[in-house]
Parts: sequence; structure tokens; C-alpha cells
Amino acid sequence: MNKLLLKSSILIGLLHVSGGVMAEGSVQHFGQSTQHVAQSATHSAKAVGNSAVGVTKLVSGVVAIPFKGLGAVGSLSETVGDFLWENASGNGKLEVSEETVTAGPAPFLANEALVVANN
Amino acid sequence: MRLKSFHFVLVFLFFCTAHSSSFAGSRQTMAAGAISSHELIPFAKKVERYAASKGARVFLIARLGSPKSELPENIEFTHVGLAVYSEIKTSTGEVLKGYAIHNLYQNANKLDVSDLIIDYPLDFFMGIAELKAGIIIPTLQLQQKLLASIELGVNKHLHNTRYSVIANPYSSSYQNCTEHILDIIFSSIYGIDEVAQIKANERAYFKAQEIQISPLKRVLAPMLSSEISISDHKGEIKTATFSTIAKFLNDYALAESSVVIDNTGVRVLGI
Repeated sequence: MNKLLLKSSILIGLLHVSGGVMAEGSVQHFGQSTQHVAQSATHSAKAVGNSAVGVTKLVSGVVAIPFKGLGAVGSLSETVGDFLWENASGNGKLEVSEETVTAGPAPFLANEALVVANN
Repeated sequence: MRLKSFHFVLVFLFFCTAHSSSFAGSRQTMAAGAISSHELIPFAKKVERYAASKGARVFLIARLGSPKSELPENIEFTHVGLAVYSEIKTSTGEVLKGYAIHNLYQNANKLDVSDLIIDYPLDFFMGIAELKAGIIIPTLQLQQKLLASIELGVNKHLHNTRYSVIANPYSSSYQNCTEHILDIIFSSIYGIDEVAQIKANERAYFKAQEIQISPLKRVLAPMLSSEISISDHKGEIKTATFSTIAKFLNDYALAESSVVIDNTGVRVLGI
């Protein structure tokens, strides 16, 4: 009976306590998911052929350097020294590439850039 | 008699745990990835474009990695990073403009240890439970200070590798992703990098989120999960969250805006 009591208590404890208290914590996801993206992207590419309309290119980022120049659309970049920024809201619209950058292992990029549907 | 004792223990355990069902989450369900990449890719780009449209050079970005129903009350997001407008060199030699996200992540093999990792919006949102992002755009002055901190490696200096998912932000014993960002913010605001002084300032000005934990879980959780530590808490369990950081920045006029982006559009973050 004592063993049964102990096992039951542990089981209930495990059922109620296992897992993160804040659920996911801060686990990095991309390592296990990049391949999934690649597979889905491949299906999309097949579905849309090589259409140049509404596509997103996945590329693998190697290094990222904080950009401190003016950088607003149409302006020169990194020629004016540190922190010459536009207003933080509204006037200083920034340029963002059409490509989607990933940091995870990207074996599907080995042969050619992958084009996938962009909803 | 023994049977009665057994039943008593079962009933006791049930009542001890039943009133805090909000602790039922787990990383495994989150990692299953219910949202397809067809939705994730454009969502990540949507978030990036929103921040760029606001001219944000540095902003706080948050994701929801577990269903809301599995989270403790008042927890809107489960992971926070610092997004920095950057020039990104790709494996093919291109240089692109976009956001790189500076994160404190749990080590995949040792959940009580963390690493500092830079990734990008799509990586950041991989495995989320909902297409939902939190964004806090600090004032321009604070953005400049945050960027200077990143460039000076203050984030590395302030990194505490001892991870606890409910780390006490007023203590330097453990650190989670949100506390890491909070420490960088306080370091940047005051221009200091001494942890003791940063913690003193956080105790004075930052109000952490109280987490309700049943007495039994408080005892058992650290025994059953290496990513949970209670030893840094005395009395109530409190931790830093995206929402409490948003409130702090808002209260001290350090935020330009705080919003949530989801399928329905962009709305102001309720704090």
C-alpha cells in the first residue's frame, strides 16, 4: 500500500507539474523547424511554378551588423556617422528586403535559392 | 485505515493543484508547430514591415509560444527579444536590410542553461501557438542607448547563463529572456553595467508580474523540471514579462508605442 501511495502521489505530481511553469520558456525553435519550412516551401514552389509575382525568397543570414546610418528609404547610408536617425515614429520609414532571412541550417539552399509562395 | 490515508492524500493533492490549472503548459505542445510556414513567412515579414514603417531601429519583439489557455493569468507572451535594424550578409554574399533579433534562449540540451543567439523574424516566430506578435518601440533616445549597449557587448556582459523560466528580476541568481532584456534596458537608461546597481534600480522602479503557484507546485516544480527554480524567490513569485516591461516603459515615457499584431491587424497593447 505504501508503494501504491508513493507512486500515486508522484504520478499526480508529475501530471500537474511537468512542463514549464511559463509554458515554453525561451526555447529556440528554428533548429527543428527549418526543414519543415523547407518542405512546405518546396511544395509551394511546385504549386506556383517560377512565377515572379508575389514570391518570397528564403535566404540564410550569416552575420548581421546594426545599421546606424540614416537608412531611410532613398537616403544615403552609413556616411554620416553614428545615430543620425529620423524620428522613431512616422517620418523615418525604413527599407526592408523582400527576402525572408533565416538563421537555422538551410540545406535546401545548397543548390539554388528557393522561391515560395507569399500569401 | 491505510486505504483512508491513501484517499486523503489523493484528495489533498487534487485540491492543492486544481486551483492553479494555468500551469498546464509544456514546450512540447508548442514545438509541434500548429501554424504552417505558409502563414509564418508572411506574418514574420508583416511584423518586420510594420516596425520598419515606424522607423524603429531597435524594438522589443515578443511571441506567444504556448496556447493562452495554458499560461498563467496575465501572461500575454512567452518570449521576448531585442530586434535591431541591421545590414544582413547572407550565405550567397548579398547584403540585405532587415531586423536581426538578439535573444536569450534556453540551451536545447540543458534547459537550466541559456545562450545568446541572434536570429531573424521567421526563426523567432517558428513554433508559435498563435499568429500574434508584441512590439514595443522605445523612444528614439532609448533606441540609441539600446543599440550602443548591443554594440558595446553589454548584453553579453549582463548575460547570466543560469536559466529559470520564472527568474526573479530583482535577483541576479537566475535570468530568463525577459529579465535579460530588462537588464539591458536598465543598463542602457542609466549607462551602468554593474549588476548590483541595475538590480537596485529595477527594485525601485520596475513592477514585476506576480505568478500564482500552488504550494505543492512550488515544492515539486524545481524537483521535476531543471528549468524551474524557486530559490531566488522569497514570498510571492514574481517575474518580468513583456507586459510589465511595456508598462514600465510607458509609465516613464520611454516608449513610443506598444502594440500587438495578429490576424486582425494592429492594436494597442493593453497594459
